[in-house]
Amino acid sequence: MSVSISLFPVVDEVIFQRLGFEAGPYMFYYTYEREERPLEVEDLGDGSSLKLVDPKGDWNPEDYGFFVRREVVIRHPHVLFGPKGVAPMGSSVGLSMLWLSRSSAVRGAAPFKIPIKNDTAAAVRNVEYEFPPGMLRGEFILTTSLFLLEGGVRSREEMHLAQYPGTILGDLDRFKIVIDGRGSMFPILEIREPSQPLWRVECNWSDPLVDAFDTDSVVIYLNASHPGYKELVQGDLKESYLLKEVTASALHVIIQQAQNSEYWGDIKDGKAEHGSIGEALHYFITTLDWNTESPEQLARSIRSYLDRGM
Amino acid sequence: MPMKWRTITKKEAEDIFEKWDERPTVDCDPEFMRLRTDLLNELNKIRDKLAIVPEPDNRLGYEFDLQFGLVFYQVLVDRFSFTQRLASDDGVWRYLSMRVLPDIVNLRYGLRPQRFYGTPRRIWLKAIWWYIHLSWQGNIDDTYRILEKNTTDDIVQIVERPGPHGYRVELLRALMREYHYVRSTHTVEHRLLRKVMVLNTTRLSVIEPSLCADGEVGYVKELFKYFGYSDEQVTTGHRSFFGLRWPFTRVSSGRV
Repeated sequence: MSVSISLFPVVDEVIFQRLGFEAGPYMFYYTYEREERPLEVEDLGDGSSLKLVDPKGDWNPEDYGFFVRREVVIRHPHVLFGPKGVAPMGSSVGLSMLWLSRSSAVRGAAPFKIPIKNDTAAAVRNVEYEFPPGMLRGEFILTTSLFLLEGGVRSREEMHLAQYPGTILGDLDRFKIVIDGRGSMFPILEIREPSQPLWRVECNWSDPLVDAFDTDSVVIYLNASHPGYKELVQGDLKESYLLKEVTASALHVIIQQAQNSEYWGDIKDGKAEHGSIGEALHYFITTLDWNTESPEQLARSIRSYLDRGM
Repeated sequence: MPMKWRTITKKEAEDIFEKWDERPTVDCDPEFMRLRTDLLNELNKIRDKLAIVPEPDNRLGYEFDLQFGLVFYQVLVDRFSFTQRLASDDGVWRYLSMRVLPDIVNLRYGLRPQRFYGTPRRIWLKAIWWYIHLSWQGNIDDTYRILEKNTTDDIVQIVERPGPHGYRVELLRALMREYHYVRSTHTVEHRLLRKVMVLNTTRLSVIEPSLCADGEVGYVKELFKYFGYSDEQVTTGHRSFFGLRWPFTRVSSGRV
């Protein structure tokens, strides 16, 4: 659930808890020679990133579209309504599945079928949406959101509430679905170079404010021919301290490389394009709170972040 | 037999660009020659229509972007099954710009690296494809009609504001149609589209236009109405929109 500063009340932690939101799983299907076939969903590790896999191996996102279906329950819909809620008593609220995809450069919204009214009975709602072939690339985000469907009449105590139909009243949950590759993970590639070091980092960008944060512009190579490689990838990758150490050192190099360039001021000011290296670095230093004041503090704050869970 | 679309990396594009000497070289997979030939034929027709004189310093402008953009879009989509998915891949645009159609890019912009591969949103072929895609009215003639009075700045306003999570295609198509309509019924101020797009960005932080009472069309009318371009016949049935002005005025003032 995510909340941003708003001029009107939206679903916050308190309302969310009282709402009794029960999220059904997303179900994905595609049609193959007029037969409906399920796509399997593989959890990519953090519980909210999923990858679509066709057990029969026929599906690909270029030639096939797919359907997504979901059922959700709101146990106590009345919590949403009235002066302490997010919508006027007499209004109706819609549920919507927003789909967002920076990598495909497009986004849209699919409303659930039946609106939610001020009611004490649980609301069970369904959505189905078709993504045509050749539309999505890379990954997309599915957000289940509440929105004001019909404003209705506001009482004197409800004047602070949202009134314009289409206003988003809060997100209930959010998943990332990967359809190509492994998703936009960290740009790490494996190489085999006997008698070379265990890892190295390359910064090939020409303009970090524009160039994408991918293996074209910045890449960490892990050398599978090195004797130490076994230790690097042993067991659960998230628990590998050696991998964390490599990642931390590489990030340190990348940030210092950017710091020494003419672009650093703009990166710090958040002026980089979406999806660029500059945006990623800006995110590291602002949201993740990495301290770039000195090399010592940078080394320390990167490791402290990675230890909290990468 | 479907086309096997190729991609090149930014680094590869850079290396090719550095080898060019005054003029770009065409060096594509044979499969792409049919696409190239089709587009060169179309280009010749446009040259005749616009009476382009092939002089070294003769820089082409918006009319060329629009005319070529329309045939480029239609040839790619209709004859070569080009998809939105491919259009979101900068590698595909780099290949088309550097290997297949470098002479056409050169004709429009000269050897400016950012128009070939350098700045993703400025890659010319990509920009004109998306400009047409986001303005598409179902066929080439209607699309031409709503776009013919625009300028290169309007291309920038539409294409270079993708938002953090991608374009809302239907919203932008409705917006471009309304922009044309407003301009054909009112005398409009300088850079109106830019102002509308800034207001749009502010409103999108709280509103999802496709979920509005009157959908994208109603939402878009309200954007233009904010700047005083309304259509009385349309607005009488849309009283509910009056409520919109209040919550946003403070947010948008100073930015518009």
